Amino acid sequence: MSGQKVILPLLAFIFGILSSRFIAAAEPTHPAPHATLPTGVTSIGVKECAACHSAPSPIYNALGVTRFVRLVEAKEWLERDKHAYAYQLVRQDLSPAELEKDERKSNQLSINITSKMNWKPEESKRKFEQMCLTCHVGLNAEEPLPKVDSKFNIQFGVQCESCHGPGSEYTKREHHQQVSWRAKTPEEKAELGMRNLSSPSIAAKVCLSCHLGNIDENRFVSHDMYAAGHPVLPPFDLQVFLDAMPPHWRPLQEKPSFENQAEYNRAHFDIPGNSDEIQSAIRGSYDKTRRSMLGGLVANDLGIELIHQGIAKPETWGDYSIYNCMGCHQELKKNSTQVRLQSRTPGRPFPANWLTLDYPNIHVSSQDMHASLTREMLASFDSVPFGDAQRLNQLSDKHLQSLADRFQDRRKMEKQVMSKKDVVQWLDFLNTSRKDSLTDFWVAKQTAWMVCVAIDELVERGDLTKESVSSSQKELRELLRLDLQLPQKQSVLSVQKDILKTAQQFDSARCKELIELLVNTAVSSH
Amino acid sequence: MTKQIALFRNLKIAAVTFALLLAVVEQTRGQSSTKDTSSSSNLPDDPILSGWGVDSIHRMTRGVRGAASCATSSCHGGPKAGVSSPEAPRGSEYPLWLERDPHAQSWKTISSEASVKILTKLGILLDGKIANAEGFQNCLACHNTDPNITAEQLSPRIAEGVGCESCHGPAEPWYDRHYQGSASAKFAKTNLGLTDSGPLVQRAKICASCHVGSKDRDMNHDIIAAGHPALYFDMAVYHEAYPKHWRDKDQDQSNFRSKLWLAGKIAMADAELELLESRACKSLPVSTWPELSNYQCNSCHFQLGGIPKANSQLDRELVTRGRAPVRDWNLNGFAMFSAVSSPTQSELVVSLNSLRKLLQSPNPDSKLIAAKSHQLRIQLFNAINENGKPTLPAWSMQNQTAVSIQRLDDTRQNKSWEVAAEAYTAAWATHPKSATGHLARAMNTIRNGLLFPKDLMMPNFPRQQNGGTSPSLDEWNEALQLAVVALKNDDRR
Repeated sequence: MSGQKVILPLLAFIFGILSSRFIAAAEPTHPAPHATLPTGVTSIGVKECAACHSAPSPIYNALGVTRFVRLVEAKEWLERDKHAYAYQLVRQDLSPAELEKDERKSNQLSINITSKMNWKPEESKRKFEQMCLTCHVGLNAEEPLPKVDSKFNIQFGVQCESCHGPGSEYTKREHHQQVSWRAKTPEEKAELGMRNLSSPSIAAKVCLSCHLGNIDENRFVSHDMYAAGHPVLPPFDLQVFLDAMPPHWRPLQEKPSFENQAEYNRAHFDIPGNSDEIQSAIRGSYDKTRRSMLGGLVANDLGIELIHQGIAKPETWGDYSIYNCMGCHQELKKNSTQVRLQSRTPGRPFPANWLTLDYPNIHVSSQDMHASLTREMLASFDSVPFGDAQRLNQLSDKHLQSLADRFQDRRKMEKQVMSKKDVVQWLDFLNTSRKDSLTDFWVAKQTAWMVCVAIDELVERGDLTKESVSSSQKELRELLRLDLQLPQKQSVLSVQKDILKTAQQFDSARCKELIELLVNTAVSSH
Repeated sequence: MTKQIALFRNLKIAAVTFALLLAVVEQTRGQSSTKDTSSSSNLPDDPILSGWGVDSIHRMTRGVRGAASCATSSCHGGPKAGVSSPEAPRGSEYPLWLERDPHAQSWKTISSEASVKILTKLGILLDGKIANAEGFQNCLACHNTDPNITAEQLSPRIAEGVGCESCHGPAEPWYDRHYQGSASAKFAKTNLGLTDSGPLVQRAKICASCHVGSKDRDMNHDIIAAGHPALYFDMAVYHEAYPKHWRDKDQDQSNFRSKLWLAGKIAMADAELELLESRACKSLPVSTWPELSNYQCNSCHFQLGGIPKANSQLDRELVTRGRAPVRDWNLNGFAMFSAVSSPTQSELVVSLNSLRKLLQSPNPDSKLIAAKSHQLRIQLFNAINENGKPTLPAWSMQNQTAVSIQRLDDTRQNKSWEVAAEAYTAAWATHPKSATGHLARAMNTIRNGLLFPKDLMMPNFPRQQNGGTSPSLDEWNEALQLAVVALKNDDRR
């Protein structure tokens, strides 16, 4: 044991020297990339992480370390993960020849967008950092952009510490390199700066900070940015998004038992039984569906939080991007199906659907309060065009508190495992509660993702035959363009046009039928 | 030049003084306008409306007697045989209106199934009963002579549609006096609130009070969204189509239509600003802010992924990307002014642009906008004020024909529906020959290109392929070019 303690950092040091060819040289320390961090914790840069996490040495294999941590993370990420290209896609310092060569035209689009934003020349660099690189690198908007050759190298896009948390503390030799690190509770790790990304709620929150937006963290695609040409953000499903990433992690189920397994399980789960029973329940959990559901719940709550963030600031209040796009963007057809009144006053923009979607309220104590506040919010949005700012503002404090309570409820929820019965119930709930909302493309797409994740997992576990669902699933995937992979050789803008065209012309009745069909197959098999 | 500016200033001061004087007279006159100002209390006093001489058609004015009281056969209920002089009153106004004027059918319109749907969606009707009296009165303000009908009074007898007094003013104050002696009608017009619909600018203002809106008639975005057609008024076009119960002395002059068009533009601009001010002051129970119908429909209503052509031509100094540009249909009169260079005119344009900028900002400041639109109305009134009456200024007629051709020509570059449709009506109105002869075909093609597609409730312009009678874009452009050349040749002759 004590030998291992010495060897690990030593190997890390040696490997660090080897792997530095991989990553550009580094100089000054970059301040923390996230606003809410333990004080004094800073980012150390990809290079430091890559020292260990690029390629496992035979010694690590021999020691069995790689059965827990793959140690190829930085390499996988750098070579295959789209997050690593987040900055490359929007960088504006390419030569005309390079711009011309780029088939996706994303850098040209980036230049076009910023030129349409009407920024004053002297502030445009700062604005680009504050409004674009906050997501495209994962920068803290309050800090000046570090030099390209600094430790936190913006060229590497969204990098390790953008999601895992800044590493100045937990990478110290007495912490995450040690076997004892596994026994630490998520809270103890968080105090040292490392986020507990095995928690679906926390992981979802980290993803959504960019993939939905967070005005307080300066990560927000405003309507001005959309109008200037920024692609529309797709809806969110944690499991679908994780599936689209080359995995640089080991799922809990794949990890072997370890010395402090029982403590670990108790810290992460709240299941009755002795440690063996707990262990087997965890391994049997339908975790993909669990992640998809919890991610959806968190996305919905954060969507509401985003509305409140928008309301709170005069400069963002009324920004159209918190409203439902189709509320306004529709051609005025006779007998249009897109204009759904649903007891709203005609002609008033209505908020994006976060306030109207239902989620199951199992284990949730804050439900009643939340429901009544949500109703009040909807009424306030309807009372005058774009909503009554004053009334909405008055609701904000209470609603944010109820959202915080709900987040704690989510944390409790995720300490449970998901059984087959739960999965079928979840599917049934989705089918029933969203029937009338599927005319909205974004709701339809997110719902279809959730349904497909659950169905796929049932198939994976042998609860359903592939044949019984594959044709409906295939049709649904095409109908709603569920594939997250976008064409590489087409310009971003023309892909966008295709997606938006699909969004406005998709057959919502067929989508409803297919979802119903899939859910019924799952229910009847149960 | 300085002398000229000084002259304009003096004129302006004189005009404002006069307008204020009018307001004082208005206050003391009392008798003719027993106004119920309770629901418009947050609007500032309106000397301009008095200046326009149409304050008696204010919706709150009471004292309506009904069209039947004008229908005596010896008065307006003719027919009278042998009236051939164009100067003579016809005497058959009432039957002409009743039988041929669409305004007389307005009550049917608002009782129709489609209207009931709209009223229900708006919550004005609930289970077939009136649930929102103020909302209903806002509808009646344009669809009936007397808007102040309560639910109990509702009956076809009272509901006459848009009758005599809708335009000529409620008759109570002048009914007994307006036919006693040769000068009595004039006296009633000057002193008792019988609206003077003779001068074209004033006439246009009367029409615009419903066809655009006024401080107490607000056909807003809620109502459009519930199904009411959006309003696209044009004085010359509407006047042409109107079954007239009067004769105009100059109706056969070649520039009569042109005068109507101009008068309409001026009146529409004032009506739009009056409405805007009222909306910004939230003076009616139906008022909303921000009011979405102040903006161009297709700035928001377009299929995502395709930027509407209308927006791609915008002056980005004025309209930030992603914000809705102000609807210009009723404000285009100002653009016409800008074609004539004088200090007053450029001041008008500067003020209008600053008002536009305010409206196009993310959270339009209602107080500031109310003040600005009020100020702009005063400026506009001053620009057309002649002896205290709004009058078609001589300069507005100068070059008008040339300007209108130029605008039609411009639509080839700047293809927004509103600009193109307005340029078309301008060319049509200023060039009477365009309706006949060799030009008519080209003009007809242009017109067909401007029609709304079959299933859309908005223009989808310009369109590549249409089918039916709609021209292709190439055909449209060709017709445009043809028309412009022919009109120019006509002008030279």
